[in-house]
Amino acid sequence: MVTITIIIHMSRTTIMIENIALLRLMTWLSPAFPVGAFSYSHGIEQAIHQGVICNKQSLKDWLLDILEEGSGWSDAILFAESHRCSQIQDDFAVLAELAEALAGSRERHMETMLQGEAFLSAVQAWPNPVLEKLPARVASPIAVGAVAGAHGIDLEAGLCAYLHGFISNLIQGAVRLVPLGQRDGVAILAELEERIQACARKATRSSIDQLGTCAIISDIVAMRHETQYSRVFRS
Amino acid sequence: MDILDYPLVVQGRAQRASGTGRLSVRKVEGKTRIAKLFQEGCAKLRFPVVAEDGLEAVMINSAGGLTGGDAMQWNFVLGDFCNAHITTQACEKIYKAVSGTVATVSTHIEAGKGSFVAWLPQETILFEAADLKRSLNVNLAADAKALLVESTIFGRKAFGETIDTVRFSDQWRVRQEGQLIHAENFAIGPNAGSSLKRSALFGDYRAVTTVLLVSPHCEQLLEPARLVIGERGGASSWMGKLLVRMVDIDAYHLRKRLIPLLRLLNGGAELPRIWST
Repeated sequence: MVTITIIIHMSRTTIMIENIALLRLMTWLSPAFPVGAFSYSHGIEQAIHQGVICNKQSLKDWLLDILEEGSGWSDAILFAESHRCSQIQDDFAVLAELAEALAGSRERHMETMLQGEAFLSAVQAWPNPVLEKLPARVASPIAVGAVAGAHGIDLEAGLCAYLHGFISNLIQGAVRLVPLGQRDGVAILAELEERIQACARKATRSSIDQLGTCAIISDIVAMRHETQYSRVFRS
Repeated sequence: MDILDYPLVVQGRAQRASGTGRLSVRKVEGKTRIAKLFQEGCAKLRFPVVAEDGLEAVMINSAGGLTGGDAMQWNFVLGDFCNAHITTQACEKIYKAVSGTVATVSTHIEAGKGSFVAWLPQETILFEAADLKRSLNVNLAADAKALLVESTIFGRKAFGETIDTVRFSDQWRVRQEGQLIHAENFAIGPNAGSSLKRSALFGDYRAVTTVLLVSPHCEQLLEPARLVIGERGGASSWMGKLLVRMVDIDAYHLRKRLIPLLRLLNGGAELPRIWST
């Protein structure tokens, strides 16, 4: 009898935690969460200006490259490592230093550092000891990964939400600049679902040794955005 | 497992190249001089006579290229107030690796206070089925300056060489006073051929260069650098560093901009002759 009660109790607890986890991920990675994500295009504004991104297909191709072989992939690795760090009560200093040093341009650096800082500030509404352990200035994937881990949120679920938030934000930015409807934007998100999940899953099985990107053109346009004459976004 | 138990296997295995070169330099009577030099295997260092007070070191891989299983190690230590340019005699060619084998090149540079180090190897050329793992670790004293360059060519276009399967990773860790100030993690492959064609990756270019200048006043060089770089590249400066990335269709076109860029970033000093010609 006692055993059954415990099982029922545990399973109920598990379901409750999963729902709470879902709610937290939705809140933290929602466009409404005050990190200012909407103000960054990650270089896409310049790629559109140069005509490399001009329609649905070229936007989707670009996003896939970033996701699988660009900063999406390195952020996924950094997120996963930070999540693991939070599980073993490890020091975040070395990882935080690496994440900051990997930023490829002044605006990319600003984009990840300001969002990380803003995330940590807003997430104080969910008190947790991990917030004392993290440096105040920290790159976005380190901040979100650590907090998700400290709240017991599953790594793959957290990664899916993080990468989805990243890609979704870039699509929102792009539809403001390319003659594309919101329906096209949403369709891209639907078409990328499996790739986002695959990327998240791959990152859960990877270590910091699998860091490595080859999105050279994306890195270059992010630099060139600094001198773009007319611009809406901060990166 | 005792290797002597398998004489046939050992004999059947191709001889792999390995080389280690270590150099330390110090300031003597206003000039940068060799303090210690060690060369082993296929790693050689030569020192052309230069007019300036600095030292020029030319790395040579006497094996004439690298393939899977080959390993090169370079170690340079600059004492306080030294000035050294380190370059290569020729482009490093990375040939087809037998499945599962990797060529490795690792470089460590230490630079003492008030020193300047320029790491200016010529291009690395990757051939079809090459597998290369490269790393560059640089530790700078508080006020040491550094100019670091790596250029990579994916098959020589003029020779009709195409790339389908290549693996290449390149890791940089640049520290100043022990603090990590810049990191690069490049990785491509094994399906490099398709990656090279992708719009956000290589955009069908075959030559790429990354240039980093660590110097307190590097931001002043940002605008002049942008003028040299043109449209096939970008530059950015933040936190005491200047980073440039450029792409082009081949090494010849890349050099047309890379040489003037290096001249600009080299603190007014002449480039090693191998770069100027």
